[in-house]
Amino acid sequence: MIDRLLVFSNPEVQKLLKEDFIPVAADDWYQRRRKDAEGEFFRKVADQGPRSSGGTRQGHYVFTPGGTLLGYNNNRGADRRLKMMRESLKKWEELPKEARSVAVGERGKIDERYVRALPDNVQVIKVYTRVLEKRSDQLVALPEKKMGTLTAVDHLWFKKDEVKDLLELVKKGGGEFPKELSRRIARFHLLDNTRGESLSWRKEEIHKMKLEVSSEGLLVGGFSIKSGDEKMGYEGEIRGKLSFGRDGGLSIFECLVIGEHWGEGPWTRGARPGRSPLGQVFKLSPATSGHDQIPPQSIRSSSAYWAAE
Amino acid sequence: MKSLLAFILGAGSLLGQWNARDQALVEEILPTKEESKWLEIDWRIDLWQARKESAKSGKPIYLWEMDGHPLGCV
Repeated sequence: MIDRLLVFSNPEVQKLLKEDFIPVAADDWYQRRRKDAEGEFFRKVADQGPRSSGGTRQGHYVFTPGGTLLGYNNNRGADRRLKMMRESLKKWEELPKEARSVAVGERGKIDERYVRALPDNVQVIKVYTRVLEKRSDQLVALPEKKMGTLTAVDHLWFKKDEVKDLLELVKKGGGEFPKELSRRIARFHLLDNTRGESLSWRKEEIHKMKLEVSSEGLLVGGFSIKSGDEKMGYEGEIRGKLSFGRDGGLSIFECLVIGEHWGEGPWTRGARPGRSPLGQVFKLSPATSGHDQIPPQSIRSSSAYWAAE
Repeated sequence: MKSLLAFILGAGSLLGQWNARDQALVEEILPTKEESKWLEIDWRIDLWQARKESAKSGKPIYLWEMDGHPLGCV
């Protein structure tokens, strides 16, 4: 996601987006499939650009609230993106006032199959992942900032009822994490997503996943995950801590995962050869910002996510 | 049981912090300040709401659309 660093950290891009646009981000996998008013609106916009047929409609679009496309770009350079933004603004300013301030009605019935809004009964844990290397006997981030060396971000969701079960477990003296939670973590979050979208692990690929919590809320565990042909895998250790607030919800959840990962998936090409160090930090989020409310990448199949075997 | 529960409920400040080595690892993994600058933009995540905001504010919509959510996924 080099766009975050190369384009959206650029001061000129930031200034324009903050002052002259309404910036919004969306997952194309859901948007292009939705059979509801929002999906139809998005496809109407995209169909005016170069991604008008078939599969992905990824890219950067500028358009009016009524759906008239003003600009499209899918390059990873700030200069070309700025050019597209400025040209789009010029077109916007030339539009008659009524085209810029159309009445937007209610969105109507939502296609629940392709919407994963953050439910009220869920706590969010940010999952940060970065490739590491050993230097002077220490694990450190790679110095070069490029695709694959930046920190990837995903979100782990715990239902409040599940958190209550954890609290009961701790109150009773601790023990093994509930299986659904440890499997959810293993299959959908112990992943190397630093070079792109990573596939979830299948249940038979989880050879070991042990996560225990003590009566003091300390977490310790280990895991061994391998694809059937053993061309891809991840093995390592987990340690961390959790704590509960007076409402019984999590007030702290922090985990450090250090392991060795090997192999690559269809959308994560360019892995380093052999086993290489991978680090992850799991950290409770208040989920007050939009970017903290993004659904877990692997929740596209929500039944599998919530009831991981 | 009462004292144990009190400990758990108030444990936020009582739990041990990371040791120095683990703290260093955590800092290596988390995004740097430079890598987090893109979050200074107030990204909306609701396209329909963004349409309403656009019509009201007189600003066009900028949509960042990726396969895998641009604000998560990777």
